[in-house]
Amino acid sequence: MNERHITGLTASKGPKRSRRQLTRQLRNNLEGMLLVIPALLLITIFAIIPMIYALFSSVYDVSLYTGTEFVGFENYQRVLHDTVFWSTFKTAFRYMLYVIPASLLLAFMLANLMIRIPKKAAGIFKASIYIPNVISGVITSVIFIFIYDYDSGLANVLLEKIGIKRIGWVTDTKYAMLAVAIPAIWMSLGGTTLIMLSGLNDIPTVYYEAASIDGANAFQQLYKITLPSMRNVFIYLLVTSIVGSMQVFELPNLITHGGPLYSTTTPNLHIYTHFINDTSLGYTVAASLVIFLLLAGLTAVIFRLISSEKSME
Amino acid sequence: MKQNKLLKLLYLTLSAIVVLISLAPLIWMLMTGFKEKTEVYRVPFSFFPDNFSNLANYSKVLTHKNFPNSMLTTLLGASISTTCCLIINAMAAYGFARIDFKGKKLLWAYCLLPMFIPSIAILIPSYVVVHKMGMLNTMAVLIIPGVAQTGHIFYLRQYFLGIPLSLEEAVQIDGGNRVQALIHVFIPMSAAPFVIVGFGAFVGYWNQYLWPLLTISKTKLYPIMQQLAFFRTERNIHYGVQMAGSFLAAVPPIMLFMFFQRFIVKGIKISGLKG
Amino acid sequence: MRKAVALFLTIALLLVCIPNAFAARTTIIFWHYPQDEYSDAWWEEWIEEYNNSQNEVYVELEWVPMDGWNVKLKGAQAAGTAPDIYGMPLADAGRNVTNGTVLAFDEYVDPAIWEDLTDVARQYTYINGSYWSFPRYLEPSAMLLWRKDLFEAAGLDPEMPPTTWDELIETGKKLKTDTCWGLHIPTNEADIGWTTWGMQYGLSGSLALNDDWSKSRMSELEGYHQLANFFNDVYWANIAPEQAIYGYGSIDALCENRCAMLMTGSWSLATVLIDYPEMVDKIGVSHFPTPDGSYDHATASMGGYCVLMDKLTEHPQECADFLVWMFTRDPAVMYDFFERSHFSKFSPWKSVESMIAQADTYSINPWLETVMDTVIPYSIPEPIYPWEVTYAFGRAVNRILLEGYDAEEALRIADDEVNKYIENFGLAGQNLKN
Repeated sequence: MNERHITGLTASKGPKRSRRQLTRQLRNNLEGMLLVIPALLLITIFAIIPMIYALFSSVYDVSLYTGTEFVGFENYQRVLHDTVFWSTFKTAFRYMLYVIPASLLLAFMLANLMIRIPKKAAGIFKASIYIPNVISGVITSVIFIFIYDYDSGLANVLLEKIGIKRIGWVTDTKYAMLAVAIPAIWMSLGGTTLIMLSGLNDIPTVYYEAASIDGANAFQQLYKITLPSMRNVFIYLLVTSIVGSMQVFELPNLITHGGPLYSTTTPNLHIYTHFINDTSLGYTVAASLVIFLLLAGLTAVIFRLISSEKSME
Repeated sequence: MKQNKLLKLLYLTLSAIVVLISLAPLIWMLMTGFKEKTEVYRVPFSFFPDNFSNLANYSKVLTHKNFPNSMLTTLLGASISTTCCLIINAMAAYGFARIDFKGKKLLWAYCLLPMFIPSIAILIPSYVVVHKMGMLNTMAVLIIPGVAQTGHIFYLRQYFLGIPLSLEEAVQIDGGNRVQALIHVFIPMSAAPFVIVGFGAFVGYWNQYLWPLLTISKTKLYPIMQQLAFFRTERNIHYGVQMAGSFLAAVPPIMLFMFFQRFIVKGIKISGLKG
Repeated sequence: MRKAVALFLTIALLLVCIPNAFAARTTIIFWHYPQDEYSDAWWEEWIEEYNNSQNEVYVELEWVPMDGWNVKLKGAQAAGTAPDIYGMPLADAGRNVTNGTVLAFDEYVDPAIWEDLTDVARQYTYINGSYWSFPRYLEPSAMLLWRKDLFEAAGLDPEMPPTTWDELIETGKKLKTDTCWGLHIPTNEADIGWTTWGMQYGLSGSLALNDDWSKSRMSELEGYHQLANFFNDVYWANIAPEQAIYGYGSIDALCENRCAMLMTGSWSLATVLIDYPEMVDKIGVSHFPTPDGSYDHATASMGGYCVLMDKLTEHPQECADFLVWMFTRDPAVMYDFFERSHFSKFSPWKSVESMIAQADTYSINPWLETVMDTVIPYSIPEPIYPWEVTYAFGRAVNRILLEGYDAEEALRIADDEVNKYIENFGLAGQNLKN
């Protein structure tokens, strides 16, 4: 992005700076600082400082009741030796497998559906699938807990209507992850679909017109025009979904409580559970920092892959 | 032509089905709000309540001594939070997008840091910080920490960078200064992203649960999600009441969305990602 | 004119002084989570009474939502904003003593008040030579409730509940219909673990951990095997929903014809008496069945609630005074609570017990005799070891049901998990119970 500025000061670098230019620079500095300082101050107080405190407390056994003592890397060792901790990554990965392909596919199909219906209907459509986005995770959990009721919940009633045996959504290891994935997809589908839609709308219709003149059928058009043009959108959605999935916590906490048998214990939920059961903060903070490092590393790797692919074009 | 019409009908029907499925859980929530305890537990199942005018659950929620107060308090807090959020984040985004000042690159990198900080790691440390600042049990603790959001600043900056400079330069040529450029050109052009950021801020404030749970202990300050939690008791679980309360709590964000719907739906896209 | 000015000044002075008088009051913060309507009302009314009865101390009762309780308390303890006093289950007194987060009451009360404690209650509060909590009530955690009318409809004797596990399952099969389950038992891991504490002990002679908390021995104890297999048998008999209806001991399920027999604690009796009075004649109560039908060993644990004092409180004396006022000064205060509970809960204080004994409790709570004769005498106090041990047993049961392990293997895995936890958190030697 080309960052030109109204005052156009970037040009002159020579020794002969006029006084007007100097005061303009000073004014710029002042204005710029004034504008960004409030936000940066708030970020410092409520994000950076707590982070530093967290780092500090991870090498101590902090307790106002039993006294704080330096424990070095003991907390980190406890975390790294905890098999349940590592299994939460597998759980997060399973969660991603359940949620991401389904969301992306559904969003793509729905976006394609949206551009093929009249504008008014499309408006209603867009609005109604976005509404679940504004419902809080807590309320969603409450609704779905009831939906999953064994005998009188919507889910099992529908299953029985089509002849399938009732499922213990919350108590069966086979289905607990599904029980969490469904509300997750439901909540985020609106936003994902609208982004897909904007990606589709960005594709010039002339491409399609030219293709049909050349005799390409719908499937070929999809394959040769739509998908490649949507590549960046897919990548953006994939990356944001992966990063988001790693942080999932509210739904598995309220709906399945991380069970049964840890099958829905995501990394953040594991940390949360430890926090409410442990005597000191150490494990909690050490574990969150480990996850943070892993996640940052994962994101960096993904970006590397993507940018290397991009440069290959 | 007939095939076209048939196809169009098919698409419309499919769309209608998707809309229904999408709204089904919310409709279910609404229906359950009208049911007596016995109806809720009844087997065989009935989707619709026996009596649509059974307002027992809704009135239990609305006459609860703190529920209306909680709704109003949350509304007030959300409005203040949204306003502050818009002002502070837009200011910062404008500064980063339009002004060349000393240390800008460094400060921008600093601004991006919070995106990488895991929220659960700083939950308790943030709580310690606000406690030391004496903010516990005040409206401030719900509003102030959430105002500066890297995500919003990033999004706004991205949008601002995309606004052609020529428009502001035109104002300058006509003899106006930067402030006038801002008011007459820049801000009107940014209506859509402002709505999106504002809406996001409102909903973010409205739906928060864990932070208020930790920082607020006084009944009259409970935000709505925390107040709702009191309907989920250890024993005596009445889904009818829970659903009625949840529905009422979900109404304001939904209404706000319906009002701004066109802006929001249009504005959700990623700029600069064209293939 | 002068009179008016004098009057005005007097009023102004009074207005200035009165708030000051209140400002001089010490405030004690008291956290509790809502339990039952009558219980919450009892707290609010008596605390208001206390606040009105004197001018030195103001007790501020702050309600905390139940599902946020743990995180809020832990957060407050981490930041130093914990309340002065808070309500917790009885066994948590012991857990918090181990954690070092509570303050003993010894220095702040007349030691004579503790003589009024029943022996069971004393076991919860007297740890390592000090008294750490004011117990409020006790209640057994697991009994069997059944619908007499549904028994009749199925051709069974409504006054004869099953007494052995085999009978329970057979009866469940006979009672099960298309719309009503035969039996309702806990299905999530936490509930499976804690509701069976009594049976765990009753069938094994001891609980999961050894005396000094250095080793977990579930796989060596007969009772744990039997219990695990019991849950398995019930699961495959298909007489109980594999996913509990609205949580453990949901009396609503029983009263709304969703199940014919229910495993629940004595708190449910209050719900029936208050919310479903028309069901009182149709419901029978007995101890929970045992493998061989005898009930002279534990089938339930005696849980309950108490009030603890935070170690960092700045007003320990005021807290102690308030709690003494509530619990031991006048038995009428606690008696009011038990009356509101329709005598479904039991008193840890002897003086209140005798007051209750004089009331016409058997006509208010028709099941009281059964509970007092067959359940309470054999109930054990809840264990105070960390929750992880209890969850491990729940997980072991789930392994058998969902993953097809056999009891031996599942319990061995549970032992491994707990032993690892013991090692990680240095539990050995931490058992404070004398």
